[in-house]
Amino acid sequence: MDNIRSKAIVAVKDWGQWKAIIRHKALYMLMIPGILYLLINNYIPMFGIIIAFKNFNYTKGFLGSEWVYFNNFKYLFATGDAFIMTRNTLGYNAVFIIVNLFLSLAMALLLNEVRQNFAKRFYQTTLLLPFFLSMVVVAYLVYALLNPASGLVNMSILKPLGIEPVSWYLETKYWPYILVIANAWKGVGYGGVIYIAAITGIDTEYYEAATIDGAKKWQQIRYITMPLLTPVITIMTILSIGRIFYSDFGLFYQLPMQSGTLLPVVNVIDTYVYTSLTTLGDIGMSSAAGLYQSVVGFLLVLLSNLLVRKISPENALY
Amino acid sequence: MKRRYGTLLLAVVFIITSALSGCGSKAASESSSTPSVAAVSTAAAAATTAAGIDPKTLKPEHLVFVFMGTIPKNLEAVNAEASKYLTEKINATIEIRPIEWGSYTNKTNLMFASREKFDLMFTASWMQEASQAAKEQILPIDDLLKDYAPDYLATIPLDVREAGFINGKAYGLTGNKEWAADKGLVFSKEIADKYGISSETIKTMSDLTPYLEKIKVGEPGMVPLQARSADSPMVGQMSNNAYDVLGDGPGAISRAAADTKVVNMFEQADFMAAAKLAREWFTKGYFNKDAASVTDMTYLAVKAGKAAGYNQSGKPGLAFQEGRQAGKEMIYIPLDKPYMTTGDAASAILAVPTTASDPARSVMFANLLHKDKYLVNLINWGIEGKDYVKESDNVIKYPDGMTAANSTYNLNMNWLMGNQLLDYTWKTDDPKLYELYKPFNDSAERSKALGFTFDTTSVKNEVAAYNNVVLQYTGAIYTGSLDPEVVIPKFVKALKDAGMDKVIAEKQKQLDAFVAAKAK
Amino acid sequence: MESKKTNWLIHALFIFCSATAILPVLLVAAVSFSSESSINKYGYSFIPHEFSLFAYNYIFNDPHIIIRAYSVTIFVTIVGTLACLIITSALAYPLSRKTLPYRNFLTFFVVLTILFNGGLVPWYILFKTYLHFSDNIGALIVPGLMLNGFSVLIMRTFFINTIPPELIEAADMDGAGELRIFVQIVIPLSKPVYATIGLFATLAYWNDWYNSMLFQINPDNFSMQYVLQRILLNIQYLSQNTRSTNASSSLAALPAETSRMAMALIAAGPIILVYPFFQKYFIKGLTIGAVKG
Repeated sequence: MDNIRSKAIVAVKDWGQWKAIIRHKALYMLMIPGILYLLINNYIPMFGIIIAFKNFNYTKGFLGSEWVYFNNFKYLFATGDAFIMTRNTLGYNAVFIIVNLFLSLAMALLLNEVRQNFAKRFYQTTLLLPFFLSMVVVAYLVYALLNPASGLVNMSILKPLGIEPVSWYLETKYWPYILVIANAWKGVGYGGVIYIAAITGIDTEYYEAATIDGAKKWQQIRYITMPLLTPVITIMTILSIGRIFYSDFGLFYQLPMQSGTLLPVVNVIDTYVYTSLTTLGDIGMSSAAGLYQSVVGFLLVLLSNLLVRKISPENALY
Repeated sequence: MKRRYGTLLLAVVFIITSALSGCGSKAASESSSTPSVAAVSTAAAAATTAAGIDPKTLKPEHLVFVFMGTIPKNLEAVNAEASKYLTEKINATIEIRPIEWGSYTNKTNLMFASREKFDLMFTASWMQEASQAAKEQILPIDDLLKDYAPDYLATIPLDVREAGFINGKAYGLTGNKEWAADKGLVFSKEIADKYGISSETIKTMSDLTPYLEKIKVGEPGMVPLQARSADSPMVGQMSNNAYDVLGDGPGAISRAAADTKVVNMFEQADFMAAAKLAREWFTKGYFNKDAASVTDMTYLAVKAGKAAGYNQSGKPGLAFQEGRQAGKEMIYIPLDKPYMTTGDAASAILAVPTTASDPARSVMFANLLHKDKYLVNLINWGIEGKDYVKESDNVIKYPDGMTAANSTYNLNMNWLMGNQLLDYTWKTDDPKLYELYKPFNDSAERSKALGFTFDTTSVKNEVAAYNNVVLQYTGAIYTGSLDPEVVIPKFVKALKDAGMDKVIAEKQKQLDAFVAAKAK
Repeated sequence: MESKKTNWLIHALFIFCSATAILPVLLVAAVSFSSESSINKYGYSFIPHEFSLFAYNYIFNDPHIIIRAYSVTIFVTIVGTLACLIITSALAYPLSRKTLPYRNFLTFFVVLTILFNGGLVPWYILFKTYLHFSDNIGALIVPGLMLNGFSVLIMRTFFINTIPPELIEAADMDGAGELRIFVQIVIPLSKPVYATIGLFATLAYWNDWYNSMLFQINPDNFSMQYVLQRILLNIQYLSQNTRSTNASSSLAALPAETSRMAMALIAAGPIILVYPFFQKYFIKGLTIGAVKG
């Protein structure tokens, strides 16, 4: 009896659910193109990771190739390439996060103090310019500065100072700095704009009250602005930590202009995946490195999201 | 709630997997529809014989031919013309698809990865032929050659063909061209004459030093030599000249040595000497300052008046060829006798990718490139009367009003297009150009390892690691951009760490077996 | 309150920073307007030693490459951005409706695409081999760029925060269909988020070279940025891909350095000229998207 009743309730509930679905059919229809796109662009390739466990053979194709299980990974980690690219990826991204956070924040706080509206807009506009340029154009700009034969630095700065010209595209020791500077140059304006937006959102009453109480400018920043910005800063930082295993392919691929000598300091996982596919034609290695990135990257995102949920649940990704 | 998600998730997984298996079965059917070589050759052999091909018995086919080069303006017209001609000959249409030099390797690897259909491609021992064969990207075609390429087999001697073999199997058609090289330098004739540079005064590389100094002093705004990482005088002097580098990976045999001991070229005394000379030249400013990083072709600097000369592999008619590119009269200074290695003999090969839809037809077409004067010249120089006009039977020139700069068909890839001896010569060339090839080839000193190709399968990862290390160091060494006394020891250590010794041992083993088999 | 001194200090600092942001672009411009011979002699500098338009003459003598690459880029940007806006919002809007059955699951379906991916190789093979995005314009529009999870989430958040459910209920009572509600009520109220996502998409398509590098073999289908990259690595690309029969200036030696920089300026020019006008929407959108999403 009870059993039948509960079944009936379930049936009615299911029926209700069905009715709800039918009522929303137009909405589901709207979603179809997007869902299909994600299925194709994101989900189906996820199943393709099996080729990382195969010895990819061009005649046997995708499914026909024989299984070699973890051999591709064994090679990847045996050559030391894995260590170098992991170190580079993590190292650069860590420095990028810190440097860009610091500079963007400084830009936002200082720009907020500029009273002249025209000047404020002008600074903001110019600082945002690099964000709109493609990495190829940035590579040209770097080349214009560093080109060893006629670049600005060698010919118009070092030469008048009597310093020997530097073969910039050969000297590994400068590139960590070059890449950090280029990345900051391109990204700080964007970060700054986000923090400015956040500062603008702060209720002006706080500052008015503080001014009446006689708080100095830096005290206002320290005791009002910073605490209210902290959630945004935390979220932004944790989100970038979640992406720490992925790098800006363009930055590392375009700027060094494919100088082989620079490889040890500019090779990151993304460039490794691309070059082992296109120059070595090694599909196994390439997909093994890609899977390594996906899995570790996934764990890092989960971890960082866990952190976000602890700190401010409403900003969690899921 | 949870349960319902479960079922929906299952549904989605089901959709995805069925879509994937859809793809999968397509992949399977595609690979099974890629005809096995044996099946095709027997099936087609019934219809045709080695002596003659009857196009009527062949089903229509569209061939895609990929090699490096830039797309000439009139390519479509030539494709149409060649298709018309080939339909009569082998019932196939053709699509010539040149890919820019700088991205040829990348693009072909991507084509392989995506299993794009193409039917014939350029490769060479210096262009990963061995690894393409090992990865089954290209087909072994011995049987097809026997059936469909009699003209090719008749014109190219066996020892030259063998140089292109991988594990005893033919993977392509070796071009009929020069199969040896004497490494040397080309100079603008004007500058060379002015400062007395000639093959009389210059016998070795170091003879050049005082002359380079004179050019440097006498010609401000001009560097004596334009160099690049891959294209410095020292590259020419060492690889495939003082040493036979024996294909991919570390280990080379010395040309001077009496035995076939495989050594690490970079550790040898003469390599250090060459590197030191490069360093001297670089520090004295005889090379362009950006030598290690510049990627533009070297002749461009001469064309622009920024440099006097550059490195080049010698062959008959080289000075003419370079002069055409640099836009001024050039002379060639050979620094060594011609040397024939596997790398030189197999420097232009037309191979059949595994994605070819009818490998037999690809071979028929490639064979025509070794036999058919009309076809070869059509693809090389375009349509007569439009892209060029005849001066005499075998000599051609541009039509009135046309020059090299505004030519409508400037493919200029005749060196890889089958049989070069069938080519018309340009009015500006030595008319006897191709007659000089045979004596040149005959006069070349044969490497003791000629015909040997290194099978990298068992040391694949060490070779990949080695290539990475080489990429990092050699550019700086060859161009003298860094001090060899400091860099070479570091380089050698990095090579050892990359497992070089294991590869050298393997190479020695394979070479010993090769030499023993040859002695029989 | 504040001392004038600090105020000036801040201005000085920003003037310095603005200069660093702009000067490299000005350097490229200066080089492109120099004569090749002065570049060879003195190197790059901010003021041309010898003013010359030769690089531009050389390039525009045969503008085939630029016209072709720009046509491709403009077409791809317009079509791609429109497609992106349509499918992104069509996916995000239903997800914002609290009454939609399986809403949470479908949202997770979107989120997972941000968290995990199959990597370059399977993705590439799927699009190129099985879906035949190869050597056609579609290959520059569809793979990777058309829709991403982040944009969907940003739009969804915007719809949740700005469209009152009562409004939709009222329209529903009046007998308006879902599609009409979306098109006639929701979209007009959501212009800012459309502007922002549209700008992100425009920027992504305009600046894209990756898809050209992976999917295109025929130079006629290369995007502007990829053409620019080929020229950076190989200046001959410029002279070899000409379609001109006008010999007068192609006879002269290719001005390698100056024409390279001229190409960079030609390729970056439109965005440099236009972005100051649309950055307003951009900043507005960031306030909605990045901070909340």
